[in-house]
Amino acid sequence: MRLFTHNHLACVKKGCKQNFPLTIVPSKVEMEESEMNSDFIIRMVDRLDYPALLKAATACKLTGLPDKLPERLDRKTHEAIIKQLHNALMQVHVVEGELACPGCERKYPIQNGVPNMRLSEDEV
Amino acid sequence: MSGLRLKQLESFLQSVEAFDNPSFRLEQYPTSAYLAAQITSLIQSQFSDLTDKLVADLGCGCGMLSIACAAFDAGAVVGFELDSAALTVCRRNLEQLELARDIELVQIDVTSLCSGDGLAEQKETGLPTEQGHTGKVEAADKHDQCTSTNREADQKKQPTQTVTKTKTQTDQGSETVSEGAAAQNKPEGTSAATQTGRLRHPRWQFDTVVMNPPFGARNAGIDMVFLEAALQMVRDGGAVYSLHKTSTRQHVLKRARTLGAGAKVLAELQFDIPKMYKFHKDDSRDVEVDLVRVWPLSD
Repeated sequence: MRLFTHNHLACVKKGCKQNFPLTIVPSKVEMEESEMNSDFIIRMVDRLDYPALLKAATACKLTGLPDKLPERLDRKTHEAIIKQLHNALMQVHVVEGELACPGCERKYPIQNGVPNMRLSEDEV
Repeated sequence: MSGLRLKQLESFLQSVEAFDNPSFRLEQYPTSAYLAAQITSLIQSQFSDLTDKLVADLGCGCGMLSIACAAFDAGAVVGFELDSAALTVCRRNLEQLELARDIELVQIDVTSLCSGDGLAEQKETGLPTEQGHTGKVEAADKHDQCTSTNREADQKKQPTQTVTKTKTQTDQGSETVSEGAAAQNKPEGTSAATQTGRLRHPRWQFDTVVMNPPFGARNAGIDMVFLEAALQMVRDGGAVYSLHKTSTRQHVLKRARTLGAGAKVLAELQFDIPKMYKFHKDDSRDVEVDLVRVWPLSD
C-alpha cells in the first residue's frame, strides 16, 4: 500500500462517523524508486488530504514534506516539493502492518502490501 | 510500453493466470487476454483515458484489466477485490510481470464503497428513483446491497456535512426538489442538492474506472451496484468503462441516466466463457457483451 492509496481509504463500518484518516501502524515499510511524473503528482495533490498525508508520512518515519503546501504547485518553481511528494506518495510501500480507525478503532491488517478492508459477516 | 501494438499487448497478457478455484457465488469469470487488450487499446486510442491517469479496476479478480491498464502507462492503478483467493493469484501475476510495485491492491467489498455512509452529494438528476431490475436484488445476498432505499436513509442520518466539499458546478435547479419522500423529510436548512441524484465518494476521484463486473446471473442487480459504485468514485470529466451483457443494454443505459450520467456503447465484444462450473453444459460459450462508457454529466 502506497500513501496515495492510504490517503483515500476510510473505515467501511456502517455508521462509523469519524472514519478518516486511518492511522497507519507499520511493521514493515519499503522504499522503491519509481520514475517521477510531475504533472501526475500535481494533479494528484488536488485530490489529496494533505494533513492525512503528513500523519501517514510521520507514521512511516518519513521526513522532508513541508508543513504546508503552496497554493498552486508549479512544476518548475516547486520542483523540490514535487520530488518530496512523489517520494511520499509513490515510493513508500507499507508492506506489513495495520490500519486503525480513529473513530470505531476497527483494525484492518496490511499483508503483502494489501490492506484488508473486508468486513466479517456480523459487521455488515 | 508506448507504441504498443494490439497483438503484442495480447500476447503479453497471455501470461496472466486465471482463477485457481473460481467462485460461482461471486460470478468469477476471467477476462481473456484478447478482451482486455481490445478494451484497453480502445479506451486509450479513442479517449486517452489510460496513459498518465489514475485508474481503478473494480472487482479486479486476477488483475487482467489492471495489468492491461498498467501496460498503457497509467499514472497509477488501484485494483479493488473482495476475494482472498483471487487476490493471491493476482499478486502472483503482478510479481511475475514485475508490476507488484505499480498496481495497488485493496481487499474490499466494492459494494461497501457505495454504502452511502460519509458520501457527498454531487448533483440532482431530475429523474425518478430507479426501480425494476434492482428490485430483484432483495432476494439475493444482503451484504451485496446498495439500494436507493438505504442510500436515502443514510443521507437522512447525515444530512449536510459533506456537501460543501464536492458540490461544484452542477445543479440542475429546483424542478426536482419537490418530488419524492426524501425531499419532504429533509431536515431544516438542508440544501436541495442533498436529496437525490449522484452520490460522490468523498475522497476517491479516479480519472478512469475499468471493470468487468459480475453480470448478475447469480446475484441479480449486482452489475448495477458496481456501476453505481464506479460512478461515485470517478471525478467529473472522467469516465467508467464497464462490460455488460448485450441483452441488458437498454437497462444499463437507462440506469446510467438515472444515476445522472451519460452512457454510450463503444463496442460489442465476444466474452468467451470456458467450461468452469459443473452446471456449464458446453465446453465453451461465447456471450455477447457491450463495452459501455459511462460518464458523470456536469451540467
